[in-house]
Amino acid sequence: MKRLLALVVLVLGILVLAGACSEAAPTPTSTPTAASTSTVETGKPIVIGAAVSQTGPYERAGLFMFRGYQLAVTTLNERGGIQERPLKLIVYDDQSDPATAVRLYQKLLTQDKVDILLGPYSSAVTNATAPIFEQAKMPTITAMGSDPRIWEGKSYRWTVQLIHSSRPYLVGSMELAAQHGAKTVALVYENTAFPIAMAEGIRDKAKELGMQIVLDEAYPKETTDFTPLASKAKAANADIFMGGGYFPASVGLTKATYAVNYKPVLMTWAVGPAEADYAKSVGDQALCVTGNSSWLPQTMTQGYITDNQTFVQRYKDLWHEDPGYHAAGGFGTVELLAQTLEASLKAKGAVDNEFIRNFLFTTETDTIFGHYKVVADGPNAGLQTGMIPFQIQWQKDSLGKMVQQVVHPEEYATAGPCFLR
Amino acid sequence: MDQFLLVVEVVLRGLFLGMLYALLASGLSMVFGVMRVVNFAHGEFLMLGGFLAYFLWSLGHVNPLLTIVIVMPVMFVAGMVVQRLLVERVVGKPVLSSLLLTFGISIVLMNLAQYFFTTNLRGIPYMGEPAQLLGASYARYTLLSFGIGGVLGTVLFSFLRFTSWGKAIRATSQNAEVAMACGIDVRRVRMVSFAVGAALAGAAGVLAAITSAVYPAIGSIIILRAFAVVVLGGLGSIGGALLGALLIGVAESAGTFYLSAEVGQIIAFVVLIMVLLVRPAGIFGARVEA
Repeated sequence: MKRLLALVVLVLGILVLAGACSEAAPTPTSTPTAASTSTVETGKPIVIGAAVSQTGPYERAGLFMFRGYQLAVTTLNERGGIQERPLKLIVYDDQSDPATAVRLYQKLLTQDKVDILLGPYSSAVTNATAPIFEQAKMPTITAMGSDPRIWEGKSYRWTVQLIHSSRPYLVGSMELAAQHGAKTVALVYENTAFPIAMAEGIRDKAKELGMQIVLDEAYPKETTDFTPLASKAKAANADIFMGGGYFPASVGLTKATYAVNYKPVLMTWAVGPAEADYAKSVGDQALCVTGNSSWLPQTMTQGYITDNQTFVQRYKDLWHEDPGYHAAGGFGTVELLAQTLEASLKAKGAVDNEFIRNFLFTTETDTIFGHYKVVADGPNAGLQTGMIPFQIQWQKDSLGKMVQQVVHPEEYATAGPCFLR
Repeated sequence: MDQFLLVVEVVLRGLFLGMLYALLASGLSMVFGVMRVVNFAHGEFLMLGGFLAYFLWSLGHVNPLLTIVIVMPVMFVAGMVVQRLLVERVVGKPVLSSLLLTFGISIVLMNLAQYFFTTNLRGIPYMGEPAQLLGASYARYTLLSFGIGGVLGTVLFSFLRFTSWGKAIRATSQNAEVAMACGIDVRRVRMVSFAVGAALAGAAGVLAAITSAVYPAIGSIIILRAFAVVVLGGLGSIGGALLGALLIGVAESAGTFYLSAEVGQIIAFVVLIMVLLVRPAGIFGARVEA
């Protein structure tokens, strides 16, 4: 009996483990081919596959992007689908691991035989999976692969970027600090694809602004204690302390900066300050910290499915919190996909990969996430060039409550910037 | 003089960091010593303790420091339940059984946390102002965390050294069969050891929520360092775990400050390899016959 119980517990554990790595929607009925044209059949679901980080270091942002996918697909299905064909979403958890994502996309193509794909979360995973999309000749929109090196020099024909490149992520904050008299930069960044590319943009901008980089250091994504890095930046007496990687690092770096009593002119982190939870986690230490936001809830964008305000409201109704740019990016990705699918179904009567590919590479359009335009041809084909990044900053309102303000670009600014010294 | 003070600062930061590892690793080491079970779910106890502290603070308005008084007993009971219902069944079984089981528990707890608490980061902004010590600034929460770790370490040491339960745990750790022959209820000892380990991990979770933030995956990240500490100190040796944790904390802090953050992250494992080359059973580990 005891052995039986132990066995049951073990099996349950393995099942849950398998469940964590398995799909979030039921397996669909198979379609004839994945990479070629799908058969016309009114009412037959269009099966969309994706691998998204739902566990591991990228779980938080990945989950938000997945919610964007879900909300967009649900909204489309409520309207009767695309050309009377409902959408079916198969999503696997890639555990924030590029190698796992590669296996999962191969499974989606060869076993699940999906009609079309959506991209994964993060630059690292996008970089690993893009060759799979290219090899399968599967047109794929990647929502959150911001590292430009994924596309640069690759002459990709099937993979496009929705979010703007990571190079200009924080350069707006550098411009603001330069106007305030900042001359030196301490740059620390996670040694993964997206922050490495962001760091390149920071170095280029520092050169352009005549700033000196007094600390330039990568840290592994497993880092949990950031005080030695903050101590180094303090010892270098840098005016701007900037970089980071993902959300936990932004919290860790901010707390560490205060822990070592370091007061730069400006602190600015890539991912984190744009999230409402950032200020909840660090309290008043969020004051004057800036960050990138690729999207803002108040902008008046209009996409294929809906407008930005309706998206924000529906998201709040469903998940009882404000959406961030990851969710908006996920939603925008499905909007763009839906637009291409409709065009393909109208023109070809089917999900035609070649047609969709041409549409994605040559069409200039809008989603709720922002403007979409990619390099149509040549070595950098597929790279997004039409989107503007915002810089947000935590400031106190008249009641002393921490609020986010847009401080850059000037034409979108809701407040002037503040500095720590 | 400035250089000397800088060295002192780096060492102190390492010791402060090491104390968090020590809290986690001492429980892990004790569980292995008594049960010969490698507990992969130990990091998830830290995660649960951190979440509990966060909700007690944010919803119950409990002082962050006082949450530890609630979190530890709750995690103690949770540890007892998990041990009695699940882990006890694989004691004495091939090591793969316990590895699979605790790995399964870890995945279940992480996914349940994600489902119920979402993936949001939860940090408690508390005592973030800097305090001066030997010419350097430290966040007050760092000093607080070190102090709490020191008190809990002393209590654990005294518990194991002077109480009958502690002696029973040490006896079971040394030889379970002889302990049983001496009339010790080793089954209950195993349960209490596991529960004490869970309570210590819960306390580490409270400190993690104050010093940084907690999220569902934090346990799976921090547990790797705790395993390095346990192996370095010697499997089953609580004193070794404490010393190993402080050593790794200092090595990590110095490596990051004087070399680079990348070196700082691997230095723990470099130290581990070097110590194991000289002492294959760890600093305080006993030789185990195959």
